[in-house]
This record gives sequence, structure tokens and C-alpha cells, in this order.
Amino acid sequence: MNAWLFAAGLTLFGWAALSHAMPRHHQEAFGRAPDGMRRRAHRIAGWLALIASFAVCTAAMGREFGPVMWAALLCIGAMVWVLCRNADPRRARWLGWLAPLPGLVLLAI
Amino acid sequence: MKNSFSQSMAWLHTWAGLIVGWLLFVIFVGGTIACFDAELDRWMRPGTAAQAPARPAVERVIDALQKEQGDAHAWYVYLPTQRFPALKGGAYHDDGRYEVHAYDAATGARLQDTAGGEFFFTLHYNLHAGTIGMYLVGLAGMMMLVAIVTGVVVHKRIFKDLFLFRFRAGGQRAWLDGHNLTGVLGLPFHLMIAYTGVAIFVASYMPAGLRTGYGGDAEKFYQEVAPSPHRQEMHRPPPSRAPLWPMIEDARRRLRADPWLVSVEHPADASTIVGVGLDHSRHVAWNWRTAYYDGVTGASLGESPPPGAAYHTYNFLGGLHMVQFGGMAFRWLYFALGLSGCAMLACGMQVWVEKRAKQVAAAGALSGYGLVRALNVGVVAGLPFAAVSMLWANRWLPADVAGRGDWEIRTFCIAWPLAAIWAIARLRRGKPWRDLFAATSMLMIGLPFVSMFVAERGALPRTLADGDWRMAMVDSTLLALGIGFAWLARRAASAAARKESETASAASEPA
Repeated sequence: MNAWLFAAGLTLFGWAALSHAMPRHHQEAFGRAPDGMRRRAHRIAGWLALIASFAVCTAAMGREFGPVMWAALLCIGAMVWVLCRNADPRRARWLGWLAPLPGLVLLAI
Repeated sequence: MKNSFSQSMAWLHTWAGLIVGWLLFVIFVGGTIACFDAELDRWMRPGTAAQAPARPAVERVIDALQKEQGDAHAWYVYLPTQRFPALKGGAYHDDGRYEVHAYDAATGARLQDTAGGEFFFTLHYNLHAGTIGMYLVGLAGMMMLVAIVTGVVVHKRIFKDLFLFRFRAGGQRAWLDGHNLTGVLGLPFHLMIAYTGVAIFVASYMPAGLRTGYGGDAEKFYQEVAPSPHRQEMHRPPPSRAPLWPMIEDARRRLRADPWLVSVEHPADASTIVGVGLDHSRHVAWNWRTAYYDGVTGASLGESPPPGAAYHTYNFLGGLHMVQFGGMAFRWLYFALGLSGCAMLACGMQVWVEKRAKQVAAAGALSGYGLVRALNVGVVAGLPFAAVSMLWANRWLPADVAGRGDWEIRTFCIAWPLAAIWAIARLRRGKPWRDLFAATSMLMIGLPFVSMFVAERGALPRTLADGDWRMAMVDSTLLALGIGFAWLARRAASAAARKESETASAASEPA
């Protein structure tokens, strides 16, 4: 359950970072256009988070259930992120950044 | 060339999507609800014990089947699970009739009949229309695959607009973004669910292999794919019946897991065979491994062999579709993705109307445009209303009425056309979207409260106090969906008002 929460948080983080790598959405979220470095950093962080979420799913649920869970979380994470980002792009940044934390904390304790 | 290609793809997407859109919406709503079919089966029998004893009363169920269904082709006893902690006994007859009732796991007393979650599951795969319905659903599934592929082709900015949702833009823009958002971000799910859904009935949809390889002999094909012991009927009644429980215990040891499905083949004949199989919760692929026993002596007849590669692939695709594996987390994810699919279809059909807003306003009610608008409101707003009406019937019908399940289905079948006809009549002057959504919302929010009075043992205060989370979950999901529909009603009302002020005509459509 905790791994599930962590993996879900990671997909939110990943989609948030990937959307912030796009100039249009970066502008909405940060109020300015991103330079090349920032765009690359967001893109790499996003992909890494999505890959990490795959690793968490397969590690926690095995090679059979893990990938199915990951695929479903990817779809839902993306939809949740788009809805939140659309509602308030500035505050949604924090949701993206903090989403993996609850699962991580629960896993640690 | 490229232009004409993408234009023809857009044409195909528009019309393939529109023609089966309403049917797909029914299939999606049914399938989404069916994610929790077992939970709903129990919710619709309030007061069913949450815990089954380690030794359920299977003999009582067999006694009941013997008495009421003695001439059946086969009996099926479903052992209690965590999801449905009661027994079920079903009888399959030679004419295709299948009758199933639930029994208390401890006492074997027959529980209240209900159409249950099973109703939505059947609606999902054959619309309660038998073989013809199954082919219609298959056709809709194949058209959905066409719409998915053409949809990807025509969506030129698929990556650029991946995160875009201009929700406040109103009109066609918001509907199209809503369609794109749920369609693109849910694409892996939609592709998987449409493909595996069609694949489940592949032997019926694509019979060429069966015709050439097996001369059309389906029996031979199934025996080769999944061999099971078969005995010629002896045309005399069994001298006695071996007790089931020792077989179930033996199967538990042989198959190394808790059995779920017990089948008794031709129970009225001395050749009767008992099969004890597992449920499908441990692997993505269906698990049909079964231990067989002589129904008269109880002697073991061996086990079914593990499936071959092709059959295993089929079981994997079917299992992936039916999500019997992995527990509640997977069911919730499929449920959420199913809802997104419903939204995708509803938005898509609304795009069709919005795109043609001028023609729609100019055309009369008795036109193609009128028909599309009527079907939109009748299906998209009418079906959820009918579904929740059926749950109300479950709570209001007297406990001892004969054919309780049939009356629930009748309520569904009456509520839907009534809602649709009323909405269509109000389409030109009125706000049928708002009204139907608001009515659905009130019914959904009201139901958990009604339960407190008419089905106290299954209502929220009791289930919460008992820590019966699965049942509390059904009520809270109803409340959440009710709030969602209230929001939809509000949005439909403000959109209709905006449109009224924009145009002098009384056309009303939510945006």
C-alpha cells in the first residue's frame, strides 16, 4: 500500500516535471520562460521519476502485477496532474514536488 | 496526399466514433460498475455476514440444487471469498438457462435475490441480448479500436498538447480538450481494454481457424485447448452422492490454494463428475486449473494440465481485462480509468454536436442533428439515472416479493426510457441535461440515507461501526458520484444559460 502511494506520487512528480519542461506550461507555472538548462533539468527529472515509479512498482508487486499497476498509475497520474495544473498552475507546482513524500515517509517508518 | 489521408482518417474517426459511441458508453458504464460486481452483489443483499466460517455449508447448497434444479446440466457452487463472503449456487440447463442464488455461508439459508452487480457485468458484455448482443458489443469494440488508431492519426499536436486542458474556454474547445485529455492520457488503457475485450470472444468473432482446423467442431477445439475428463452418460441416476467437502479439502492440497468454484457435471446421471477449481486472484492470467473427482465415489480423477502457450496468452489477455487479480487497488484503478473512458465518449459525442452548432440550431427536432442530440442526452444523462434508480428499487422493494431481481431490472428498463423521452421532449425548451444530472445526483446522495431506514443492516452507520470497509465504500462512492453529478448539473445549467443569452433561440446544450 505504501509502495503504491509512493509510486503514484512519483508519477505525479514525473508528469509535473515533464510539463514544466515545455515553455508554455513553464510560463504558466513560474511566470517566465525557461532557459535550456532548466528545460533539460525538468525533462531529465521527469523521466527519472517515471522510471523510478516503474522500479518501485515492480519491486513491491513483482514482475507480473508491477508493470500493470505502473501503466494504470501513469494514465491516472497524468490526468490528475493535468486537472490540477489547469485549476491553478502555480500552486499545482507544490503538489507535483511534494507528491512522492507521503509514500516515501510511510515507507521509511 | 497527406492532407487527403488525414482528412479521410478524421472522417473515419468522426463517424466510427459517433455510430458506436452511445453503445460504447453503455458498455463502458456497465464495465466500470462491474469492477465492483461482487461488492455490489453483497451491498444489494444487506445484512450478509461479513465473515464466512472456515467450513461453509456447501451441502445445504447441494441439497437446495438437488431439490430445485435436479434436472440441470451442471451445478456450480461458488465458495465464499473475501469479496463475497457468502455461498452461491447456480444451475446451468441444456437450453442455456442459468439460475443462480446466494446462500448464507454459515447456515446455508437462501439470501435475498437481486440482479446485483452481475446485471451490469452482463450489460457490459452482451447487453442482456444473448448471442446477438455479444456480437454487437464485439462490433462496437472493433470500431473503438478503429476510432483509437484514427484518433491518434488525426491528433496532430498529440505531444505538444499533452498537458493542455482549456477547461474554462467553454464551447467546442473545452469539449474537445476534455475528449483529448481522457483519450490521449488514457490511451494505453483504452487500447488494452478494447483489444482484450474483443479477444475474450475471439473464438466467436473469428471462427475461421475453428472451421478449417477443427471442421467447425467447437467441442473438439475446447477439449484440445483445455482438456477435462469427459464421461458418457449412463442414463441412470447416481446411486449416491459423495460428500463435497473432502474433495474441496483434497483440491486445496493438490492445487496449493483455496478453491473457489465447484462444478457438478450432469448431477442427475451416474456418470457425474465434480471439478474443484481456484479463483483468478493470484495471477493476471485466468487460472482454470481444476482437480476432478468421481461424483459418486469421490475418487480423484486427476487434475487439468497447465495451459499451453496459446491458451495461456488468451487467459492472460482475458485476465488483464477482467481485473480479478491483485486486489482492491487494481479494481480502483480500473474503475477510475473506466470513468475516464465514459468521460472520453461523452465529450467526444458532444464535440460532434458543438462542431455543427449552426446546423444543429437551424435543423428541426426531426433531423439527423436532432437524433444525435436526443441520443446524447438520452444515453449519457439517462443511463446513470436508470442505474441509480435500480439501486433505489433494490432498497425499496419488499423483502419477500417474488422475483426481486427481475423487479430491479424492470425498474432499470422503465426508468431509462422514461428519463430519455422526458429529456428529449425538453430538449428544445428546457434544460434536460441539468435536470437529469440533478435528479441523478439527488438519487445518489439520497440512497445511503434511505438505506439507514429501509436496510439498516447494510447502511453506512452500521458498516462503519463494524469496520466493514468494502460495504462502506459502496455508499461513500455513491456519495462521491452524487457530488460529481451535482457539479455536472451546475455546469450544464450555467452553460445552458450562457447559450440562451448568446442566441435568441432556445437551444440548450451543456458546454
